[in-house]
Amino acid sequence: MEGVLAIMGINILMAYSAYVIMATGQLSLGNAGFMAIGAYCAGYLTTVGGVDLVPAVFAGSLLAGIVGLILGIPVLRFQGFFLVLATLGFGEMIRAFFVNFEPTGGAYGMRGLFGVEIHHIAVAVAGVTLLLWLLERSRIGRAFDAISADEAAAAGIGLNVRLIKVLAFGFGAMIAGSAGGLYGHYLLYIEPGNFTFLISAMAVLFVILGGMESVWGALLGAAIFSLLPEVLRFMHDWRLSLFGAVLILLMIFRPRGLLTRQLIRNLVRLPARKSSEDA
Amino acid sequence: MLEVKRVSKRIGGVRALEDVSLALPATGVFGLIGPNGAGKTTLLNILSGTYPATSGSIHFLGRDISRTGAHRIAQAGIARTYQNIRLFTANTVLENVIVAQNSRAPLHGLQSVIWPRGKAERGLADEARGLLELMNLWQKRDFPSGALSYGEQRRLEIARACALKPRLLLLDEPAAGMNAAETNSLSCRINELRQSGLCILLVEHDMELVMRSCEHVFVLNFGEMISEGSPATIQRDKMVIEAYLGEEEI
Repeated sequence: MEGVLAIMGINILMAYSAYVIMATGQLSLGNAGFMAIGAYCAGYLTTVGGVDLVPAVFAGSLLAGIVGLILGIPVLRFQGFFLVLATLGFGEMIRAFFVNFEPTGGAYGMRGLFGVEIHHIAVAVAGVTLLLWLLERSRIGRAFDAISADEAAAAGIGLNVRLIKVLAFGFGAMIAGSAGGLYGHYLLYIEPGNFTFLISAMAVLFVILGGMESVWGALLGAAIFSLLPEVLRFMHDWRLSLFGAVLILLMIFRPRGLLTRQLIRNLVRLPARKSSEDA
Repeated sequence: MLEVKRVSKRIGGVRALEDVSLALPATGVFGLIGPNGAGKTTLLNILSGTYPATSGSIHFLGRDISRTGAHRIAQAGIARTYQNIRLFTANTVLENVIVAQNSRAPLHGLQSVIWPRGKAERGLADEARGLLELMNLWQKRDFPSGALSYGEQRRLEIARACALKPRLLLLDEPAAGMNAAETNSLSCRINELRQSGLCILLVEHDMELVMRSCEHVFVLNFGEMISEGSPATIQRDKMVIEAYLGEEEI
């Protein structure tokens, strides 16, 4: 059970990394690459460099963020499909890099990582959730909304669209990097095969299913769809098929995700209205 | 306040604008008319920084803005509306105004990233209400902006543009799709805006609105400025009549 929760925490962080980028109307299918950078950088620092766990994870996250900014500047000139393909290519490129990069073990992977317990992951999830929640309620949250709705109109009201998109991309990369650092030290062993395209795709999927209008949608999506395969375990071989069916049904009946802003507003208002009616 | 000197724009092989010059003072309502494809929207796009001019210069409040990006021009005091409406349709009417008010102050520092915006927005609530009341949209403030009628959406675009507190307001066919009564009331609102000490450049096909609202009209045809003057002069100008109705055959 603890293992399931730990992986759920990592999935939530990856969903957040996709969510920040999607909040500015962009889509990255390369976040597994940033996760790999965070994992390998933190792992190298703890195993070879003798750095403590927490600063090592922060350093990995920072490096992923810097790579994200550097990549974001040219890549965010693209729109739509081209952006998706460029980020996808980047993710695979990073994986291929680590397959061939001997100092971090190449295709054999990296051993000797340890130290992450479930509470580390819980603290990271809580911290990033708080940060994203604050961000949503801040002035930049409005800017994100405007840019994801219409970039030309957002520039027309004085928003530096390119800068904000690049910063959001870098922030998303940072979150993915922190997820990687924690993941590696939880698994005790990492190899390039841990960071495939599937990880990036799932991160985006969590957000789409949970609802990309708020941080709670990303949280709910990642939580439910990390637990669902476990809950469905009694179905044996059929469980992945059922998982797929659930995804399709959700897309049909809740195309904007499980948690929309409207739903959140109603949920928050409902108790308030009830109590005022009682009085 | 605005000085456009010999601006040309080539898009592909097409000469969209050719040596266009015009000057606008600090207040007043000015018309920009011309047949379809004359380059009116192209000129507006260049003024608002959507794309740069191929040649020529633009000065606004003494600053050269011919190579300045769209968001900086908006911050400098030129706001616009769009011919094909570009509202933030998922947001409510009020939010469309708030988001523009919000981007008036610079977005740097940690405060703009994690500090709740509620207090800052409450401080601007009266102003937002004033703008929406002026545009007769206050009753519909909580509607999703995509649910408004065509005319209402155009009015909301004007309110959003005004929320930037611009010195120059560029209106791209604000009366398109409006009926006579709506156009009438739009003309009153344009007048009210002008009273507040604003310069308005109005691109419009509705000649009645142009003739009634504008004190000075510029006429474009095939990317060239063929005439300018008071509405009365323009209406008698042979070049203008030819541009609109074709040459008289004898």
